[in-house]
Amino acid sequence: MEPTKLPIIGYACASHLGESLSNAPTQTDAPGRFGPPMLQLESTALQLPYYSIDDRFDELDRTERILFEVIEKALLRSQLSPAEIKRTGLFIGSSSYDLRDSEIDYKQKLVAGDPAAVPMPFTGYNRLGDSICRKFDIDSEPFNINSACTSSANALLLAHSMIRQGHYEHALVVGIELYNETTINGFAGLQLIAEQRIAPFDKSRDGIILGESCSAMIIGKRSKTTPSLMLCGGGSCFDPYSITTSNPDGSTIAQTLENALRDTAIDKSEVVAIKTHGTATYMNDISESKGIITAFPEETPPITAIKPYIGHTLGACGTLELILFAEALEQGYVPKTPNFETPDPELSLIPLNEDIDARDGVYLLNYFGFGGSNTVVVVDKV
Amino acid sequence: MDLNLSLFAYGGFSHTVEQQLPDLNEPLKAVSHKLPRRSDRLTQLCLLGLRHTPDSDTFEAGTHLVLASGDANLNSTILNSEQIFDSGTLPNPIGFINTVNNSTAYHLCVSLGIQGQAISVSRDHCSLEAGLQIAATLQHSDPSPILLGTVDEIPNDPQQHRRRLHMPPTTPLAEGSFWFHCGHPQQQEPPIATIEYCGPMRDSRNVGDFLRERQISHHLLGDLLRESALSEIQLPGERLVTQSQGHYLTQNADYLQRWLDSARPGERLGLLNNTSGSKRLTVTLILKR
Repeated sequence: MEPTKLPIIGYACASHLGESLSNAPTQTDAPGRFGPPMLQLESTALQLPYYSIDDRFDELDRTERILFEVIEKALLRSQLSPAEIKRTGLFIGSSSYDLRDSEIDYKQKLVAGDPAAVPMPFTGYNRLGDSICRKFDIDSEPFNINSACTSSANALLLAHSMIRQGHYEHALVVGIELYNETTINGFAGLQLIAEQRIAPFDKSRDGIILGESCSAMIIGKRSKTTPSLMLCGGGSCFDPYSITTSNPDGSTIAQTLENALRDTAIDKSEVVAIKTHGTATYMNDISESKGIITAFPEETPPITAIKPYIGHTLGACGTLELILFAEALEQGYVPKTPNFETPDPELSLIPLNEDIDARDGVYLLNYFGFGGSNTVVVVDKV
Repeated sequence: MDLNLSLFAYGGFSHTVEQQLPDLNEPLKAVSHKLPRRSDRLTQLCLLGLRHTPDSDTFEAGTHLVLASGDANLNSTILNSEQIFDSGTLPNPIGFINTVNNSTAYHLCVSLGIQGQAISVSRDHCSLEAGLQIAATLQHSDPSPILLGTVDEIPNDPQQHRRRLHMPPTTPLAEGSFWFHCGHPQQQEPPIATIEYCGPMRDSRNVGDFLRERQISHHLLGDLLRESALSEIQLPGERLVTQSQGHYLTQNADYLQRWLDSARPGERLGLLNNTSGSKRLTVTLILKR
């Protein structure tokens, strides 16, 4: 068995803020103005806020253009040789994969009155993986993981296990979630979309704002350069409470945190801070804050949330939020939680109001999803 | 990829779909597990598959679930698309939640009373193989039992589905679900079989030598390979003639179980398969105990 801690040897991402949280507007934007362009949804005439990468939603080749650009950058930064890339494992996490491509094809044919129009013309989850293998000459077959909002976090942990067991020397882990109408309409139907801003743990929270992103991370047995962040592994826990939310008593989230610390042999005292899942729904705030306090009853580490910067990128948030968090740590700070103004008396936790210095040590990253999927990723800043 | 994954029980079911989707209500009455409310056809197929799998009435609470599917929740996603683009309405909330692939895993875990990890994976015609690789990885890090299932459904409108797949209107389609009880070899009774190896092979010219070295007694070709150049090559072991029930991405789980039904101890199967977008073969070796 290989060592538990594996170096993160390259990453890249495309998000609403590009590749760094420090790209966020700070001085001129009043609270609540931080955010994306408003989108007009043709099919339902809904107007909902959305954190987009760009506004070229209807471009036919948008998925591959963004995907290939991000992966190419990450591979370049990893300094893997073509032979090493050929042998790398490929792990993809998403809740929608290339769904947008199907939607565009169907929509265009419907408008044109084409009798060949069928919903979901592109089936299955393997098209992106096959494209990546062809484009980058990767020999392995992709693992396409779909566990809703924990998809890419679980892909990352699976890659970590497979490297440790000697199946691969390196793994390319991709999280992708691009704008599609099924998802935004679905969340609108669930009445979970906030009107203006994401405000996790704030009393005035009113829900999530979706976002899109593509991110790629390469982990390996060893790095050619001195790594600044090691992936220690993590833990998972199934929650039978509800298909859409974790148990509000916090027990399953606490168990997930405990599992992550146990499986990585990390002591609670080593934890510097926790990146919360922080969706800014009432149920998430309740269950996550109770879960953290249950797992850390004596001294709760500082907590923060990243979704107010880039939106909830669903299945892609595992790798995206890790990359943006890693980038912030690299720049020497743990990012604050934007939009937090009013503590909620129902919660016993307050997120970071200001950036704090990022000292060396262990950081936990929480991810929870529909379908009872709870995952915690553990990294070590060295 | 050497797996050393032990199989302790297996079973499942599938059926051919002609013009109409077979009704599942009657067979579901025989399912001993509680049928989840608001579950979709994919979940129901899984429960029917488990009904045909021995030792599937009770499970240890820590059992892990690995669910492999080629098209996963296709029908729910189609219904959502129709609501949005054809009717201009918001998707039904439960219908939307069912588009998330792991909603099926959720319903199964609740029905079966298991709380280990629940992982949903997909890889076109090689989804079973992806599931086997994940199950083996779980087996090496945790002694808990693993329930590995395959499932694929036909959407509500089979004729539209043939058009989607660019198939003639009389092409048979099939759906079903097959299951394997896997686990750590030291933890349970002697296994029925061992999945020894599962991995890609870029150059199919080497496959004969590879299978010869591994001393296989039988080999079978996945659905996409039956009329490929590979089918013309003389491969070691007896070639099994598979009877396809129709287009069905995880049908190789059925083929594998049929071989397990008839194989003698010590016989070894080489299962050759590939995905529609790849030129690589995936080779799986199974030893009957």
